[in-house]
Parts: sequence; structure tokens; C-alpha cells
Amino acid sequence: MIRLEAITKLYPGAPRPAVDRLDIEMAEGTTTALIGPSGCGKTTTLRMINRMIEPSGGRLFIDGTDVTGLDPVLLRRRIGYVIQQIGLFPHQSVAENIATVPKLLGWPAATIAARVEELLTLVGLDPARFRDAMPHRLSGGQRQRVGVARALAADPPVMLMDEPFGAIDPIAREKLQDEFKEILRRVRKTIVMVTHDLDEAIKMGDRIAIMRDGRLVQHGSPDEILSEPADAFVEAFVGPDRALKRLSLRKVDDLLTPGEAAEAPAIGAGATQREALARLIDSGAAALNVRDAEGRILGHIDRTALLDRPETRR
Amino acid sequence: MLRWVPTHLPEIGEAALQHLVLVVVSVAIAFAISLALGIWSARRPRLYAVVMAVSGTLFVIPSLALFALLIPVLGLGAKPAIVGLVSYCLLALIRNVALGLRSVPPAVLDAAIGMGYGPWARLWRIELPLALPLIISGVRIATVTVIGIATVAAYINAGGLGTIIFAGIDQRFPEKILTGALLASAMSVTADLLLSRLESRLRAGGRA
Amino acid sequence: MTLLAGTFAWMAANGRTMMELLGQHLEMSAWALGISLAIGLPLAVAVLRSPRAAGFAIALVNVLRTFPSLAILAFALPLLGIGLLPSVVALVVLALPPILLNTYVGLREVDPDLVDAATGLGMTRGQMLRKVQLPLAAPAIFGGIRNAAVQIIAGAALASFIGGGGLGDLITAGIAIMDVQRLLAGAIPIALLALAVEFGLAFVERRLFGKRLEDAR
Repeated sequence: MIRLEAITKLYPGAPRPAVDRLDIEMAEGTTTALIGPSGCGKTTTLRMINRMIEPSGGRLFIDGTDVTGLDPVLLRRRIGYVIQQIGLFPHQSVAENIATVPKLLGWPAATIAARVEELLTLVGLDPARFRDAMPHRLSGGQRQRVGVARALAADPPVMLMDEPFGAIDPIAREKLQDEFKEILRRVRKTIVMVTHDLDEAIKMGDRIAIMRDGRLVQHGSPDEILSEPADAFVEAFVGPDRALKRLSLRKVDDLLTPGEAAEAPAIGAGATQREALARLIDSGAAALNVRDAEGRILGHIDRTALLDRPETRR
Repeated sequence: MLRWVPTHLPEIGEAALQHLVLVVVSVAIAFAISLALGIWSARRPRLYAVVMAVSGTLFVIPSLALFALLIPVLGLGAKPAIVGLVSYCLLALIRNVALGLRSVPPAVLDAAIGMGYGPWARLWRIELPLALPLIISGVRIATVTVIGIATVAAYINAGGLGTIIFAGIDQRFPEKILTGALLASAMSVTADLLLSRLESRLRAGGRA
Repeated sequence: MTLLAGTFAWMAANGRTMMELLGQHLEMSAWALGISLAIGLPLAVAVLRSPRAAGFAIALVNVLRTFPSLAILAFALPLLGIGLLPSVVALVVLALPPILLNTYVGLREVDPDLVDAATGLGMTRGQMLRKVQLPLAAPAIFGGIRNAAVQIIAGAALASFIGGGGLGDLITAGIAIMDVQRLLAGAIPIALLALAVEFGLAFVERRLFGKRLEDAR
């Protein structure tokens, strides 16, 4: 668990604080997406958690202990750190990169080797192929997988991710987001992720914290943010298509009506309701049959049910 | 403190002038050679590699050894000194001529060919003017290098500021050493300044 | 050809003198390189964190570089007298600029994202220097050392003028008595020595960093 109490960053000579008495609590094992327009203080907030930026005021608790007075170097070894530019050391192999923090902590070589193996498998890279590879041979997505493995190496309870998909090309990005979401769910870390992409925040975050001018404007689940924007700023920020964005949070499985619909196109189980809506518009049909991976029809989804739910109305 | 300088100004002036002549003549000869070799080799990678290897090797030979090697062939005096100094200029000059010519964007060359420029017109009217800032930068590096090395040439009777330094060494006379050293240093700072200014003016002109 | 044959005959006849002078040349060069490394490397690291100190050091080094090698050796004579010490000190002054500048620039040009990542992973400044900055700056540092070594070999030839000994003695004596064979017996080995250092270190450089330089392309 991470708790920020009145955390403030005031740069000398700046007219207003970059981060202004920010209070926020991030529950253990959840992912919080920090989002807001550029200059809102989200990256500053993230970098104050591992004291890459020293707060000018306020207190910071990790798992109940005040870490404001701790040696920042020791603190950072307990906090995973992933950045947009990835920052793999180009003169070290993939394995050496991943082993950075365990080596700093003085783990025995055999333990480190086993851990590297385990992490490469976790992030979906074949250890035999990638262990000894040099970073420049990897694609952007592979590099960030190594970046995440490196951050996870010493099993830190907390992970900070600063625009982790920012350097990945758009085609690979979505797939990597899906995979990272699964990996992060499995490792159960308390994660703080900075992003400027609302769709990414909705997808990756259990909670979204929207910031503006160094202050927290709204903090809640993606569904809460989309259905009940706290003010006009958030409403404008989430955009006029927030109803559609909400549909992308839900699966077709939730709206299933038993039985097969006649002359209806099919959609796979696990698809989002937004995808279902797109298929309905495309095909002009009134319903979609929902099929599982083996092609069995589980039921169907109705256009009226999709459009006419009370919670999507306002 | 200054006992010797005020009474020997003409002598000092003559040494400085000799030094300047040695440097200017050497750089001028080297410039002519380098322009030819640079133009010839700029777009011929294998030839360029050979030219660079030879001029690089010459550059590494210590000055006193090179001057000494030239004595059996050319004797003492300004002649071996100038040959030696020319050989130290070649690396920087040829490299910068070639780099300058290669820095001309292919689109510009294409346009020139399209407008009907022949190879020589293209070279004189397009490529060399565009390469000029880098060429001048080569001249600057060569000049500054040679001003320092030319002091050693006094030992093979080529004259210049080195004469004052060597006299200072022989007579254990710090004032002479300092005079020769400071004048050589001042000369190289001035050359550096003037040529960099010329270089940046050419760059600015090229952009406008 | 007869000239060369005569020179080799002279060298063979004066084998002991040759070895002694070569020894002096190498000894003075080795001391100078060692001392300039011992000063230049830590100094570059020390000024890395203070832009003002770095600016000052670089300005100083650039002023030093405008002085002819001959003048730097000549200065050592009235200041330190005759012998090995003044020559070594002068050669250190000659070798310091390339070592200091290349090391400083190499360290400074390490990608700031890597420094950020290393800090975030919990490296101390010392660990960052040893594990990230120095290894990445190594090619630049080695280039500086190569440059310095060649300057030292060339400068050591001039040490003869201030009584520092070395192979330059044969050239100065050869010119003084116009003995061409003696002159060449000094000049040829000095030239070969400088070329050996230059190309030998270039070879080592390719061996050590060639792959990395290729990869960077």
C-alpha cells in the first residue's frame, strides 16, 4: 500500500507548486493510473514516490512505514522502476540487465540465474533465446518486457511505471498492454502508472487518478470516472465518447440472453460490449450470437439490451 | 622582469614573421594538394581509405623524427621544414574536403544535374561552395597544428619562433622561452579565432 | 639504400647505446602516461558533477593545448632543471588534455535515460560510475589514451633538448656533427615507435570495442 499525505513539490522560483498537497492512497495489489494533461504533476508525483525527486513537503508511506526519511538508494531497491525510454544498459546482456538489483542486493549467483530464468518466462521471452542477447538486437516490445523483468527482479512490493508503452509502436502496443495486464495481475504488486492515454488508463488501471495543476481532481474506478465525472474538467478530459469507453470496460458475457438468435452474426465470448456494438452497426443486424472458443453458441446479445441499459443513460 | 624583450623587438618581429611565412606557405601548398586529393577521393571509398591511411601515418610520425628523416634528402633549412609541415596538414585538410563534398545533399546535386550543370560546373558552383565551411574548418585545424610544430623546425635552421625558444634553452633564459612560447600560442589562438569566425560566417551565409 | 644499410650498420655497432636510449625513451613515456592517467581520470570524474569546475578545467586544458609541445618541454628546464623529472612533467602536461577531455566527454555523453534507470533501480553514484558510466565511456576514454600515448612518444623525442635523454639524443647529436647515419638511427626508431603505438592501440581498440562500435551503427 502506498499513501501520500499532503505531498508537495515546489521548485524554487516557480509561481505555483508542481504538486500541491496531494493526498492519495493506493491499495495493495492494485494498479493506479495517474493521468492528466501535460504539466499536471503526474510524473513529478511518480518520481517523488521513489524520491528521484525530493518532495518539498508532506509524507510518504509504503506499507504503513514512513519512507520520507529513508536512504533513497535503499528505498529504490524495494521499488520497481520502468520508464518510457526503457533504459536497458546497452553494454550488458538481457540476463545481466535483469540481474541488476539482485546483484546490488548481493544475491548468490545461482539464485540470480534462477530468478532471471523465471522472469524471462513470466514476461514471455524464451530464456534460451534471450538470456544472452544484447539489448540492441531486441524489438521495442521485447526491450520493454526486459525492462519490466528488470523492475520485478528483486520482487519489490511496489512498481512505478512512467509511460511504459510510450516507446512501443502502436501496433505492438495493444498486445503488450494485454500481456502486461495479465503479468501484473499475476504478480500482485501495488503499481503506479503514469500515462497520458485515457484508453490505456481505463484498460490498465483498477483505479484512475486524474490530476490537474498539481492537484488530484478525481480518484476512482474507471467506471466511476466515466459515469460520474467529478467536474466539467474531468468530463471534458474523458471526452464526449465516454459512454463508448464504458462499453469497452464490459464483456458481452454480462448481457447474454440464452438461445441462438436467427440470422445473426457471431462474436467471440470475452469480447467487449463496444466491439459488439461495432459489429451490430457494421452488420445492421439486431442481435449477435456469442460463441466460445470451440464455436459453441453460448447465447445471444440483443441490440436493445446493449443500448437500453439504465446505467448507460444519463 | 622583462630585460631582453624590449631591446630585441626587431629580432622577435623577424622570427614571428618567418614563423608566419613557414605556416602560411605550408598550409597553402597542403591546401592545393588536399583539394585535388579530396575531390578525387571523396566519392571513391577505397581510394579515400588509402589516402587517409597514408596521411594518417604521416601525421603520427613525430616532428623531430620527420624533419631528421628529410635531412639526408633535402638538407637543412626551410625546404625540409615546409615539406614536413605540409605532411602534417594533409590528414585534416583532405578529410574535411571530402567530408564537405559528401555533406552536399543528394537532392541538391540531383537538381543541379537536372538543370544541366556539367560535372565541373557542378563542382565549382555547387559542391565546393557548399563544402566551404567544412573545408575552412580543416584549414583551421591544420593551421593551429602547424603553428605549434613549426617551432621545432628552427632546429633544422628553418627559422621562426622556435629560434627564440632554442636560444632560451641553450642559455637557460626563461624570458626567451616564454616569449617564443607565448607568441606561438597567441598566433594559434588568433588563427583559430579568425578562421572559426570565417567558418561560422560562411555557414550563416549558406543558410540565408 | 646504402644510406639505410649504413644506418643499420651503425645501429648494430652501437647496440648498447641504442638499447639504453630506447630504454630511456620508453621509461620516460611510461611514467608520463601512468601519471597523466592517474591525474586525468579521477579529475574527469571529479568535475563531472560540477559544470562550473568542468568549464574551468576544460578552458585551462584548451589554453594548455595552444602551447607548442616544444615550449612546454622548454618551460620545464628553468623550472625543474635537467634530467628525467622535468621531461616527465612536461610530457604529463602534454598528455593530460586528451585524457581529461575524452574521459569527461565520454562520461557526460552517457544517455541520461540510462542514468535515470540506474538511479531508479537503486544504484549509488559509485555503482553507477563503475557499472554504467565508465563501461559506456570506455571507447572514448581509450581513444584519449591512444592520442595521449602518441603525443608522449613524439614529445619524448624533444626531451633531448632539455637533457631528458631518449632516442632524440641521436638526432640532436647527428645534426650537431652532421652524421647522417646517427641521425637516422634516432629518427627511424622514433617514427616506428610512434607508428607501433598508434596502430597497436588502434588494433587493441578494435579488438575491445569494434563489435560495440559496429553495433552502434
